[in-house]
Amino acid sequence: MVAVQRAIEMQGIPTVLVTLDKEQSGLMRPPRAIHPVGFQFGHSLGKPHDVETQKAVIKEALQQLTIKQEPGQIHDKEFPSY
Amino acid sequence: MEMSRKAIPYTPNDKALSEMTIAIVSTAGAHLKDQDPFNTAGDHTYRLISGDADTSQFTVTHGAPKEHYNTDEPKKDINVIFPLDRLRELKEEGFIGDVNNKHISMMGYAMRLKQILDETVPQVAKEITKSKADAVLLTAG
Repeated sequence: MVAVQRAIEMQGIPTVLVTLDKEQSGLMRPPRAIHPVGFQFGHSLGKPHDVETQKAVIKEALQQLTIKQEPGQIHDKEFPSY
Repeated sequence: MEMSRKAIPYTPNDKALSEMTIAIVSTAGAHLKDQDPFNTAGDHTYRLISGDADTSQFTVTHGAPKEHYNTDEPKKDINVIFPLDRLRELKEEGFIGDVNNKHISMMGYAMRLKQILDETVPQVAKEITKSKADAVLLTAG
């Protein structure tokens, strides 16, 4: 996943990753990433039909694009509605 | 092109989200029911998903053990891994500018690492650069 992300960034298009596997993604050092804390695999953006949480995660991820940051970091984010 | 692990590619962005077209690239194994499923024994191919795809017509094929990634969940609502409906809503709300006309889906746990790095990754990057996308949201399982 991060290999794809890095290749797209190299072409001049900013990217942001939502990862539940912080350890593995961290080894690959993604350009921008968030980690929704406590989510089960299969629930990347929230549970099925939980529109509120899904949207909150996407908004948080996309907002990373507007924040100047040090690449290679994965930001832990809490989503109480999960 | 050889990619160094130490040097992290980073493209700065000075656009507002409300002016940006967003594409989804996912390795969670999503695909339309009328597309070929991924080969769970190993698969380096990707599926192109059009921007107007009907999210009720998706399913998921993925080779990861079920205890690691339970695909029953995204089959109930593909937006948990491939959030096309949510992006459409965020466009309606004016949070983003537009939803890209093209999205890309792959299967993680795909085993064929060399083929993926040598063939799939450059192809996917090219698909994105040829599209209208200003930025990409990536999701795994």
